[in-house]
Amino acid sequence: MKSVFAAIGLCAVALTFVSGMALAAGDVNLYSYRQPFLIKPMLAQFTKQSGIEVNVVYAKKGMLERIKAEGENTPADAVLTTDVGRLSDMVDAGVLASVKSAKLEAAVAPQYRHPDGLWFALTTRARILFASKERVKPGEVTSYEDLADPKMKGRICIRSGKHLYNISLLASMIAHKGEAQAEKWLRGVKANLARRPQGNDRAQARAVYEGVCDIAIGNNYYMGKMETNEKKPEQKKWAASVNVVFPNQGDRGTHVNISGAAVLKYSKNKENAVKLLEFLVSDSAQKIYAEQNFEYPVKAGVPISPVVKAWGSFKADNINLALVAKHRAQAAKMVDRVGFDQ
Amino acid sequence: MALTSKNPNKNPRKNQSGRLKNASSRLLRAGVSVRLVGTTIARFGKYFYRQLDGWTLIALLIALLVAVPLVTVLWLALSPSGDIWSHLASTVLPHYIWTTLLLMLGVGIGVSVIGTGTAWLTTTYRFPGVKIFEWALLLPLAVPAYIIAYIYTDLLEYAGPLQGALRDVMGWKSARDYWFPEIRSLGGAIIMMVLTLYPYVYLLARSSFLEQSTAVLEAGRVLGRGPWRSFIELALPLARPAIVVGVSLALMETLNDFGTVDFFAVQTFTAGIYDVWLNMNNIAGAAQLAVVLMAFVFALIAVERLARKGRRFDSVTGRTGSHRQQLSGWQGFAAVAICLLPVLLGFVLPALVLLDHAINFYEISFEAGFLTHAWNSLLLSSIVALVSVALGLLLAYGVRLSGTNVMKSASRLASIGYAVPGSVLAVGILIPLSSLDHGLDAMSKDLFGIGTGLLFSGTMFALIYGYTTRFMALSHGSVEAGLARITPNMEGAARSLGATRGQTLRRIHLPLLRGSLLTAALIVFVDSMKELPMTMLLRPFNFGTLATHAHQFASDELFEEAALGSLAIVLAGIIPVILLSRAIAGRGKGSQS
Amino acid sequence: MTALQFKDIHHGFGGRPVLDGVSLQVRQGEFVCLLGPSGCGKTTLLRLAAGLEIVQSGSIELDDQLVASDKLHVPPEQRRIGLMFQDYALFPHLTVMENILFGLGHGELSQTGKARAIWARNMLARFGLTSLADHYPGTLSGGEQQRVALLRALAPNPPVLLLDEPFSSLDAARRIEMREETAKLIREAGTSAIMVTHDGEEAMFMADRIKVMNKGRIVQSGKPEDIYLKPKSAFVASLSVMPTGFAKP
Repeated sequence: MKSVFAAIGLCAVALTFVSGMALAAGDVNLYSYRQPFLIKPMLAQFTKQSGIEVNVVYAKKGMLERIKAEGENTPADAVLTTDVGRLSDMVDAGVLASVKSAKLEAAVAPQYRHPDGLWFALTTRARILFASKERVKPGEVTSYEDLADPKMKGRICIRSGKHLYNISLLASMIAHKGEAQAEKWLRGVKANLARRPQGNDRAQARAVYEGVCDIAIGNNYYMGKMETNEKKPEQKKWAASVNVVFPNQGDRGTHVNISGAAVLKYSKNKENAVKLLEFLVSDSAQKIYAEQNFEYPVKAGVPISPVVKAWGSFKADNINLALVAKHRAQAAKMVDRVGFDQ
Repeated sequence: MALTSKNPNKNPRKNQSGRLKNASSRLLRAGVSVRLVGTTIARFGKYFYRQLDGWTLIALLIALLVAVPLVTVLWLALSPSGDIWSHLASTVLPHYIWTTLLLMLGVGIGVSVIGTGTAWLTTTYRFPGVKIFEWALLLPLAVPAYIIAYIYTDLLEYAGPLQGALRDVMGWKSARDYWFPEIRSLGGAIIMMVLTLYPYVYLLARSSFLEQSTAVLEAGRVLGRGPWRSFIELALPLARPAIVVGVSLALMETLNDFGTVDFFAVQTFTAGIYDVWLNMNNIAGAAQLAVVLMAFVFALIAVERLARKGRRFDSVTGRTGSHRQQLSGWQGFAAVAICLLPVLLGFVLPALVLLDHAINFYEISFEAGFLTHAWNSLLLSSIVALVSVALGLLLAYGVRLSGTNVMKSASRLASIGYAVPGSVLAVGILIPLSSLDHGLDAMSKDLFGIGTGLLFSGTMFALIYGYTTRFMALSHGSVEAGLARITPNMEGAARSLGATRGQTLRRIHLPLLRGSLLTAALIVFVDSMKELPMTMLLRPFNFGTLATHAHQFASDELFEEAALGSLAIVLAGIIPVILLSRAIAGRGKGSQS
Repeated sequence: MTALQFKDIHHGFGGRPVLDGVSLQVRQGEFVCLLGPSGCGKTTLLRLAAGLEIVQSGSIELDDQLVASDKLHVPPEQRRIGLMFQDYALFPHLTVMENILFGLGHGELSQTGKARAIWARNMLARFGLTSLADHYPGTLSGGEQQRVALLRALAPNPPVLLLDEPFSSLDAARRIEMREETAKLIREAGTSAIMVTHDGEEAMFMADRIKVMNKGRIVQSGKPEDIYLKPKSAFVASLSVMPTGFAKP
């Protein structure tokens, strides 16, 4: 029995040190909210070009708490996120470093980066409408506001109001029109729902295809992924049954969110981290984002995927995203108040 | 203390000695506080003091280590959280509570009925396939609830095969033509959880039924109780403590679940914790909700302890297969059906769907470092199983030796980590571990001028610590229940024959506890294979397990690509499940040999 | 010489007093019976002597050596007192022989250990249990279990043997047979013994001296015939029954 305990002890000690030593100086250590299989091709290319190894921890819940707890001793150099909200939480927590880089500033338009260079967007994604080809006439729905119109009763599908993407959309609504108007809108949408909010964005397109509802709300890249899904041809059918509608083209533009990156204040490899960020906005990396993940490259002039191009160009809402992020908690409480998910 | 209060400027060689002195005063202060603690303990009275020996100290230490993350969550909850409570109370809190209670009620009833019913059938009767059902009924334990949630949604949705076939047969055209139960609902969540959690009850009820003396039941029959009434009036009350333990484990797992309820859009308390934390960026509020959850679990455990208290020590007699009654005709058929259904729905069907996806999407999912992930999972789960059983044993034995209320409460505290949502508990691990790291770093800088950075955070150690904390309820509970079945006279006999407490543990308790220890190790192993939220947050760089492998796809709505990882988790769970069942069956026979 | 001595023992559980100033001496080779109704504190006294309970007040000496007081607690394994439980507490995972040899250490046996192992074999033969040496306790009858438990307690040759209601789970006929056998074996071994019982007849038959206990106190002590003929109270009289073959003068 003693030997078993001793063996376990040794194993644990050995593992602790082995895993601790795997990080060599001069690497870039990345905390990522993005799935490893999505960013791997890009990171591999970065390592090939620069000779800098990238180590990754992928996590979603509690990443900020980890960075805060590790404080000055954090091994991480940079973070990748899929939403502006997380970035603004990190700004508030004071864990990000201000980065000055001509390359980054040239590539990323001012509304897609923090004024002090605390974070930079890498791609934008639009929150669009999937409208049934059969049951929604062209021009019948042209804005988010139309979704609250009593004429749409029983025709709308959406995922949980508490999901990041919907919170962000609602927060932008609050930023533009004020809390009272936004709440009125949310109650209107709630009254028009065909079913209780559930599932993910793809499931909403599927619901339109199945006739459960006529209009769904989803992120643009899911549409691209469904259209091109050779492995799961049924998803092509879902995509084929709907038209892409970019809302609010007549006024403020379609709500967009970003995926972004930032360098950490206590990074030990800041130079390399900045190099990684610069690489991620370079033409070659932006092309991978555009082609493989159907997102909009943040850098002007990088060609978008032909699939995405086919939906036509659109006007994006240019409101400062940091401002939108400020209304997130308000939005989350509003979802509770309206009882949107119940 | 006098040393620290001296003005350091008076020291002429301040620069050279300053560092050392600074460090030594820290040590000194630490020493003083240790002594203070020492005297406080001594004041508990000389009676307690004489009992404060190595064993008690070890148990106390283990209980403290396991309680640290929970205390951290408490500490987080002490910061102001703004108006979050008034907001929640006036909006969604009643709904969260109501949904959570309904969920627990549904899961509680479901797992009790299925778990106890199948356990009774397989221990009391003979019918076709009973030997296979004995272990097969445990298999759903290896299937994560959120995975079968995905699978059944696919099967039962509008576009799924079942409704498609119904439409073809009935000539319906669209969803508006007919009604079909909505799988993504509270009812759906209850069914998914019952299907994957009933094995806890089955496992414990079965070993309890196996230990009941056949004579008691036969006496019941002779006294005119039919098989049904002897089950209700004799077997069930005797097995009640075991059943209650099983149900409370299932309920704790229900409480900490996020994946299933999130997917089904069922708003439970746990969903609320995540919402306050992540969407409202209010960790204090989230911690306060978590504390309420813990208090609730504490009450649950208290009820469970009360149930266990009534249990008398019974000398284990066990029963043999020869007394089993043969069921034939429609009765045999019904027994087969009752046992087959949970296995079919909870294991066979999901495993087949996973297998199908895994084969079709093999190339995409296998490339992504699959073998390394599998190896990591196996290694980590094995280490955690051994560590938590060893600690669970030392804790339970230490508590038994000391028998004081302080120790009992400490060990109770150690068990509630299981009900706390994994990510919240992970934060409770992060904060103290990095504080320890910072302390060591500062001390090393003082002494040697070089920092140590992070020694424990973000390492395998952090993961093992986190898992152990989380699964202590499983190992400690199982060992404790096993110990309770050994009469203290056994210990007394060994001690009076010259065995020390350590020798008594090794020569008497370890062999007698073999079954319980094995059960504990294997349940912890299976649960570690499934663990996701703590792994995500606490892991080192470039480290993944089968669960995180599956998750990266599932979180991008790619369930088919996630199938390979999920299937591997399920398959890795089968082997221990079969071993476990053998061990339990062996325990029933053991005393007869 | 005194084999075992209790001095003014007070003991309680959770504020409820169980022993209230008990003093008691057992001389070398003497057989003392503690006679009293259940719940009078007899068993607690044995557990204190064995070291299974910690003394709250008072002291205990073994061979004139202090082993327990409110400041000292020698752990049970260092006292080498033989103890036989009411439920025998045989180890279910060990064979009869392994049970009996348990107290002789494990692995390599010392010279004396080997001698005691031979003694144990002889004793098994004497009781006709040789064929059961490799059996597990679960398969033995009550009488057989009782003998194994007795042999296990005597195997390490303890200076003092404590017996807690050793015959209570046997039927009446078997009880008489067993107590004769047990008494003989203990006297042969020359061990001092304390036996706890609620059966006056049993106490009369086996003891050199009887201590009658009630509500945590010793209410009368003396030779069996004194207790029987001159009970100091109705309580004592109610406990003493004429044992078989004990002629009334």
